[in-house]
Amino acid sequence: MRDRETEFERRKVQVAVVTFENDFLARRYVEETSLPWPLLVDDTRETYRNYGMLTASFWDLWGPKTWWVYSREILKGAELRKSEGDIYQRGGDVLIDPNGIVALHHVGAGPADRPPVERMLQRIDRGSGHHPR
Amino acid sequence: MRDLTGKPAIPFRLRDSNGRIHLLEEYRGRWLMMVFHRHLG
Repeated sequence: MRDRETEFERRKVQVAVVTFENDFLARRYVEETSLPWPLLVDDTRETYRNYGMLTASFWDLWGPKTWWVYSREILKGAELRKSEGDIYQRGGDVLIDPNGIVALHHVGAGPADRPPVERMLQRIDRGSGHHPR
Repeated sequence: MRDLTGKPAIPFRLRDSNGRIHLLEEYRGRWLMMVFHRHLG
């Protein structure tokens, strides 16, 4: 998604990243990654729950799709790190339009399940009458 | 979990890593993309 940062900027889309982890880890993550967007801390996980992002099952996490993505990353030369923290908490994406209506609601089934950025951009363009050249 | 597409967004009040409070209402009039991370590790 960060590769497409300018596409979101051009469309004047505000991005907010949400984490359930504590302040210390959140600050460290922002420093380590030079995150260009605010990192909101939802340590009670209330907002996660409100959007149906609950705990994933073992098979959601370790199903064939996950192995496929990890294998591809390894072939590309990526180094996989051991995960810390609650690996069972689901993530997802929620796109909210300027009137406060949910335009896209995606709950990730596992680590590899994210909607394509292209789909989000198309949804924004459709809703704002923007036609990229 | 039902798909909330087309429904009003659920209000939130969350603190960012710099201690600033963010409210859903502040984003009214603009598109907002909320990316819910899994663990940061």
